Amino acid sequence: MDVTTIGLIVLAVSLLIWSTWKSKIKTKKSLKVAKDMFKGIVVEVISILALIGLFLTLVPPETIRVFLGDTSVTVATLISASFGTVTLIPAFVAFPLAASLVDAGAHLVSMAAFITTLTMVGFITAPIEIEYFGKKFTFVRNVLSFVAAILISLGMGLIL
Amino acid sequence: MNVDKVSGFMKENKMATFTIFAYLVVLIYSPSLFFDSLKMTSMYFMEMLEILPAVFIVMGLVEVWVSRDTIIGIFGKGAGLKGRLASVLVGSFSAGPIYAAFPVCYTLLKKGSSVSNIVIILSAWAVVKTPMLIVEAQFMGLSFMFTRYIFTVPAIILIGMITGKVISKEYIVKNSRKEGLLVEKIDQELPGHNCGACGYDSCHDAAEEIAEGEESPDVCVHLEKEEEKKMERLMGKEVLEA
Repeated sequence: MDVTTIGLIVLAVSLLIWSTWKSKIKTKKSLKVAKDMFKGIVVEVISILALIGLFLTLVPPETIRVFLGDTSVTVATLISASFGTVTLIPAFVAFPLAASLVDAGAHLVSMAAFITTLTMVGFITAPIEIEYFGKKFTFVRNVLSFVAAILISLGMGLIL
Repeated sequence: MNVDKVSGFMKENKMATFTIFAYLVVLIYSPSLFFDSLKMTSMYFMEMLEILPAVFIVMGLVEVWVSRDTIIGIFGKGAGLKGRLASVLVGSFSAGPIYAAFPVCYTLLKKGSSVSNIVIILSAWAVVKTPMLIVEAQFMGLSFMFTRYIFTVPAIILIGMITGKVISKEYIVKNSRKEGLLVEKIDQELPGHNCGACGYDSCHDAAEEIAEGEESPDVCVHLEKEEEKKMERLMGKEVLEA
């Protein structure tokens, strides 16, 4: 567990205690809201997590190395960005992987694109996003994020 | 097993049905792959269990304790640059993957946050949250982390502003399949004069009471019969024809 997760749990518990001390009725109401939110998302989240598990077992992130081979930085950036788009990997897996890819010869620019799309563009989480915000919102946000990821990585290429 | 029940579940949970089917195919094709996938999934599952309940408890408390005006003041349309920075900040001190951010942003939207600011929260949550930056600095070096941060923060503010221009809040209200927006849907049906004839300070307050079933739609004197019926349909009530 990282520091923010612990911080978050501590925050939730202390707020809950404060709330109970202030008003039991309001606390009950908030817990009901929390329960409904959880119920509304849990089946979908579990299915998506299972799909990610399956996908990453079938196509381990290391396979990106095969594709990166001798291609130019531009192509490598696009490949990395696309790979980042379809998957969702926690940071503690993604960064060691990116670092090892850099050691293996991958360009920093393409790794920046990989990391940004990996986290911000969510092909696999799109069904949940659509459920909350609708199709057009999901489409616009994800396309803009993809474009931004490419621009960010190109910008970084100029500096690094 | 009841066939109706099964097909009902499949219709309501398309994603789950697809996943179960995919796993069955893999199980037949290669049992070892199947178990490897399950192992991988359980790792993600544990991460979810650490984070989601806490996030939802905090959001439940926000929903009940924090007033609409406060949220509008911080994240609303008029909040300007301060609102943008507050959104980056909230996203930066978050925990968990982006799917945990959807319900959070949705609650804030309901409470009066602008569309552009929830996009900023979502994006900051995804790419510049603090635990991620720490791991990033460890593996990619400080200058990589810092450069990416400098480029990313303005980029996500821009993404938020563009999305806010293209997508209206009304669009989200209409297209969200989450029930919590019922208040907003009812609010849209109300005339919005805030005349106070119903005994509430604003139409929005009245909408909240109607959504919770504490008040009937005919509390509003301006509504035509047709609109009242539409509202009852929104609330999933059978309208009895006289």
